[in-house]
Amino acid sequence: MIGGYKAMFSRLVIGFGLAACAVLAQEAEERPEEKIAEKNPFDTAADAVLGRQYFLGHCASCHGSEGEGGRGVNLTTGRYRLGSSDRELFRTIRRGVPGSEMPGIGLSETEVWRVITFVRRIGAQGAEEKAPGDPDAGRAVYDGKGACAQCHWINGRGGVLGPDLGEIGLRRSLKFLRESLTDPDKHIADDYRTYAVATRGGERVRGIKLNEDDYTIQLRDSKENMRSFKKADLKEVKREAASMMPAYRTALSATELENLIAYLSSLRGKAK
Amino acid sequence: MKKILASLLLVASGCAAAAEPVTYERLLKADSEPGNWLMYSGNYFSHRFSKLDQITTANVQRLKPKWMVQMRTTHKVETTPLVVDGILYFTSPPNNVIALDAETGRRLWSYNYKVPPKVVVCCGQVNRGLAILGNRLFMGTVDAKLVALDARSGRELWKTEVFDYTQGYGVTTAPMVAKDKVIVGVTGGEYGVRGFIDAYYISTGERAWRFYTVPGPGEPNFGTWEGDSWKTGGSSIWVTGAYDPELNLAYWGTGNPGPDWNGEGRAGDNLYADSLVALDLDSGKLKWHFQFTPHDVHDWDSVQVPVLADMTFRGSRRKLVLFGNRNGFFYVLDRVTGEYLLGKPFVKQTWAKELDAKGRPVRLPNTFPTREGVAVWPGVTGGQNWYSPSFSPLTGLYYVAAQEQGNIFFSADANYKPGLSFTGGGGKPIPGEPGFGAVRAIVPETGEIKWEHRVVSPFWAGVMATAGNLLFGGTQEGHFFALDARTGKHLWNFPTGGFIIANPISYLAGGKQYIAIPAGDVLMAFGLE
Repeated sequence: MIGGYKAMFSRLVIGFGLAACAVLAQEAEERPEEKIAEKNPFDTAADAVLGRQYFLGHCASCHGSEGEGGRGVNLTTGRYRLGSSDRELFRTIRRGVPGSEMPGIGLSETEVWRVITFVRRIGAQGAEEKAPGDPDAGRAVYDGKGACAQCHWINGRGGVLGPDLGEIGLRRSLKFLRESLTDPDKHIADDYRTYAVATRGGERVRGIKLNEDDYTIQLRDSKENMRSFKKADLKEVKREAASMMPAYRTALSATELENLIAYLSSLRGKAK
Repeated sequence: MKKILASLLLVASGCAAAAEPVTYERLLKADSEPGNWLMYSGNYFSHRFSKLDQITTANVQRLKPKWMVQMRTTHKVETTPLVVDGILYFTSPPNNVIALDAETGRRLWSYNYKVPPKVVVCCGQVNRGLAILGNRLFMGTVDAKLVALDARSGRELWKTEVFDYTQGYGVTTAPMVAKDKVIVGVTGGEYGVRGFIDAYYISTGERAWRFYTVPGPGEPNFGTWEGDSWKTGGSSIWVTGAYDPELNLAYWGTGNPGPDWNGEGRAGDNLYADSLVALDLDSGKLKWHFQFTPHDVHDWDSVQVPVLADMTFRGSRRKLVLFGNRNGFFYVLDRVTGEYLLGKPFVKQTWAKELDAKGRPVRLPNTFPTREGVAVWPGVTGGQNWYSPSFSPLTGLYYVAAQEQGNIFFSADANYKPGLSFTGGGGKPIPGEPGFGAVRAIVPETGEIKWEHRVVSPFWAGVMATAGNLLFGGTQEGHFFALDARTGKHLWNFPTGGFIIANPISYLAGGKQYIAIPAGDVLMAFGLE
């Protein structure tokens, strides 16, 4: 196979800088129109056992070993943004989600159906965790003491430095939300990496990388300004391990933290 | 008005000149008319080197876009144009052909090819270019046809079916023409095809010979395939080979065995997948083969352009073939006999302990794809892919646009159904390892890297060296750039704004040197201010 591969290759590559990922996404997209069954033909308990094996190999590193979510969407809710019918789930797994980090998965048709059987079971088992905190009190923390809206966006309101949280409850498990609040450096989405540059004129700018090529780099600085620099004018370009987001390990009480998590977990956008 | 008249005159003179047919003699001596770009890689030795020297390391700073042509396509543009006496011919994907005045970019004619709706081509409905002989242009199509067009009008002369496209076959490579034949190979290694290289008579489109890249029962090396696996063995063809007229041998690189990432059920070396085959041009008979990656399970097609060079190697003058392979090694072979002479990694590789005395890799354990996935360098798309290397007779260096990245390789079930994907796994990014690209200049005699030029993303565009001691290349981010071919020093770049996934060429129009490159869905021509 060649890419273009195999070229792989398309605007997605530019977006993510992950040629291989884009290759797979594109390949999946250009498969011949398969006759996808309306109903899952492999939905026995034995299929679910096999489906779990494939899931552990191909899905768990992002979605968690029990589908609880992480870098990938929480699958225990039983609600899926791109559609919940068997055929829609098949398409989502086979083709990936354009504009997201999810690539199309190179499993055979039978293997995809078995993964769906496993995913359905975790979605139907009521395995979804219930947040112990009070979401209304959490909203007050979000808007007040936490000052989260300075950087985050929910339903058209808030800052743009950090990720949109409008569907975060659908996308992230309670554990992931807790970790992101107490240790924000642990999981940083590729689109929100922190970079620091120093100009020859002595200016230092820290921000989120928006784009980069061999001669220039574009950042959104901490005041949300979009900045573009020529590398020839820079003394240093550094990728930092730390997130731009402050840690709330000590800034919030245990109760405030749980309430905030409950609020974030309640943000579910509009699922189809 | 004067200007318009002048350009009309130039077009007219170009057209008149184009009426001079491109004879086989002219193709043999392509190096002696550097103002034209007569075949995919510039000459039969596949040097992708231009003898033009108006644009040099001293004046390249004055290089500016001269014209642009929008293709109005959503497909990837991987084409290499041809230029004959002032007329530029190129393919716009999937399979349209356009003729332009090479000086102004103004269209002279176009040919539109109707592609059926259910075409199956892994990796995009692309086309890499045309071939020309006499007054005929030749193009392979994504629905596995071979078409001959009248070069003066774009009118169709004949159309031949290469194979039934609904079974996963297609043609994306630019054809090779030599003597009375036009040669193409088929894609489809991801759909369980049995690959082959075909020669057709230029006059009629009738098939002269077929060489199966997977041997059938009773043929030599049939035993390198387990059971019936040869029937779906892949080994497809993606790019144009090279040709040595003196030896009468055509050299073609072959693709991966199928299924790509799951070798269960096809035990054995799986010849002639991932190989270089040397075929007699008249009969299509195999003279020799060299397999780079026996029993490949990483999708490391050997579909890079083979570069032929006559040079002193370890004290004696030899006829060589240079090959920067997708598996991460740079190879030098004797092209008369296929003897292995040298092999050295040109990118990070973690799968082979070494190459033995015959060039066969000694594999490291735990590098085959698993259900859970295993990290290996180079990645799925390899150290190099389909796009072109370049060889400069002036510097004696082989230039490759390398991809430095690994992947997590995983395997999956693979069940053959005609026309459907048959790959058995895939590759995923290694978290925190986005990879990068590097142009590397390799000394053929030692395999050593003389210099490199790094870029932020792995390359998908080829390179071209010129007699002005320049090396042109392009990046994913759309920068078309020029380096000093002797030192790798960066001299010039232009942000095209489109992903560059094609190879540069150079030609003369109106007495001036141009450099052309597709970027995004635009064909651009650059010249001095």
